[in-house]
Amino acid sequence: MGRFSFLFLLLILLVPIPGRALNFSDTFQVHGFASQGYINSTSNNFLAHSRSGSIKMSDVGVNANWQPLDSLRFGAQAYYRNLGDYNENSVVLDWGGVSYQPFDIIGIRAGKVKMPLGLYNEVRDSQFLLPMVFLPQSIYDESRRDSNLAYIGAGLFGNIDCGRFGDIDYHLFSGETDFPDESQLQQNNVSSAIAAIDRNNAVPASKKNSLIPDSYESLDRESDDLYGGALVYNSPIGLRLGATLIHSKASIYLNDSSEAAGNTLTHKRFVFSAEFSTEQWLIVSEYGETDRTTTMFGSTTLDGPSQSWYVMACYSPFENWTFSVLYDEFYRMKHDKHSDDRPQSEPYTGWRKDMGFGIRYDINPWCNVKLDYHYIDGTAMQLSVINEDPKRYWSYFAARLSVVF
Amino acid sequence: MRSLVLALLFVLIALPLEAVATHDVVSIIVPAGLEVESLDHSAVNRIFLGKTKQWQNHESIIMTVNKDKKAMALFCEQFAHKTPRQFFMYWRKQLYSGHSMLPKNFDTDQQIIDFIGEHPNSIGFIASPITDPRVKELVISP
Repeated sequence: MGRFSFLFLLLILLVPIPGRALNFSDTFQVHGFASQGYINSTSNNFLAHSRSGSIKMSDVGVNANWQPLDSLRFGAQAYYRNLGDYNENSVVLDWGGVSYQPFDIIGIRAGKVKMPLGLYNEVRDSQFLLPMVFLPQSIYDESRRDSNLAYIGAGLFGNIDCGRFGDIDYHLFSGETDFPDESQLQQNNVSSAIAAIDRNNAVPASKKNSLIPDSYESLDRESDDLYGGALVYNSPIGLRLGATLIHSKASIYLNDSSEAAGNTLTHKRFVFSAEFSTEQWLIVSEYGETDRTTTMFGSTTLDGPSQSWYVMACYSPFENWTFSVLYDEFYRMKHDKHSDDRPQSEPYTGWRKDMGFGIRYDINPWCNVKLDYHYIDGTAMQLSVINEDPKRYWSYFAARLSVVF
Repeated sequence: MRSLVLALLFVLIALPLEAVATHDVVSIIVPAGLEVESLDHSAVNRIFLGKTKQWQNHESIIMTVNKDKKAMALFCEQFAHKTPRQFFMYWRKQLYSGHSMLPKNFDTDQQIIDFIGEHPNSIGFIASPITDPRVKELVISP
């Protein structure tokens, strides 16, 4: 499939027709995007088995929109993604549903809707639009993408005109997360469950945890109690200020049991955002915390807030070139940054400090190429299914060719 | 000597006049029959970013984008506060996040004039003088 997407990219690039959108009529449009990447890392794997270099970074998205009335629109985007050896190797519905906006100030969306989280979550899948190969991982964790990507439900949205002071976008929603059957996070959960079952089976019967089954057959994740909202103030001078608040609960069910083996309750997740853009500069910073409690087989395994923040500056001295620098920091536990409460773990498993540099070249209005280098201290957010024994200091290089039509 | 001074004076006076005469401006145009004569600067910005979708009479706005390089550059500089690249990126973000379709776009001023002349609630921008009676230029206040 990776080969397919690469050929697809080449095909698009070779057709010399600018603005490749398919506009069948004034009310029906088809557009899309595709990208092919390469990643190579030292010391640790990142997202794929990248230490030996990997081209398993492909995605293709095709969307269709039909607007039968001025205020009514139906739309959907199909999305194929291949990342590493852990199969998200199928076509899924990225977003899709109906949007009705009778007035500028209020509208409603229903279906599968991109979740408003920070300034960039809703566009994270379209590589062409991003200044670097990956968004800052402290806020936009790629390995847990499926938890934050979209909600299935309904939301109110609109734009409030503040005259010469700018305007405010808002989006309030309620629904549930659509967890895919196969993803890196799912694979990681399966590995953790099997390891817990094996450990439990190895202890004497008198010391066994009766909540842990004797064998593994299946694992399902289900979401409920998801709601939240986002506000973005857009000033007339290029300044955007945003705030997001989300509450959610995700449960894990083993062997088709009706009782949850564990769950993660996110009491609140908030992100504050600030972006300032001029013709040549884009400077952005976001700060977030996720206050969550995770229980598994009757024990609390995680309780407290994480802390995330980053600052990124992008400079475009020429129309087609953008140079970016990023500092990105994540702490697994805001109040235990050196993992003092987890003496069995190395302290550096509690943080991730990423210094990144990126170059983006827009070959033409529908095709660009990006190169990134990141040097990282810490292994927080690494899934054990990718790295069983992660090293503290590591780095990666990534390249990506993206097209849109 | 006198003629040299007069010539210099003429040049000094003529230079700014020439500069004004060739100053590039973009015109915001609507159908001649539309009951709107003026908009303020922020209203233009909001319409072309898809945030204002209705005229005051609640009719839906049909917004058009002119891809002519000169018109696009002037429009972005004077109204959108973005580069043309940033403007198109903005619209692609709206598209790929599922927020909106892309606006209608045309390659030349004449195509914009022809479309607006035929669609009662449309709006667009051009960089050439307006000579077609089917369209009119809006007065833009700060």
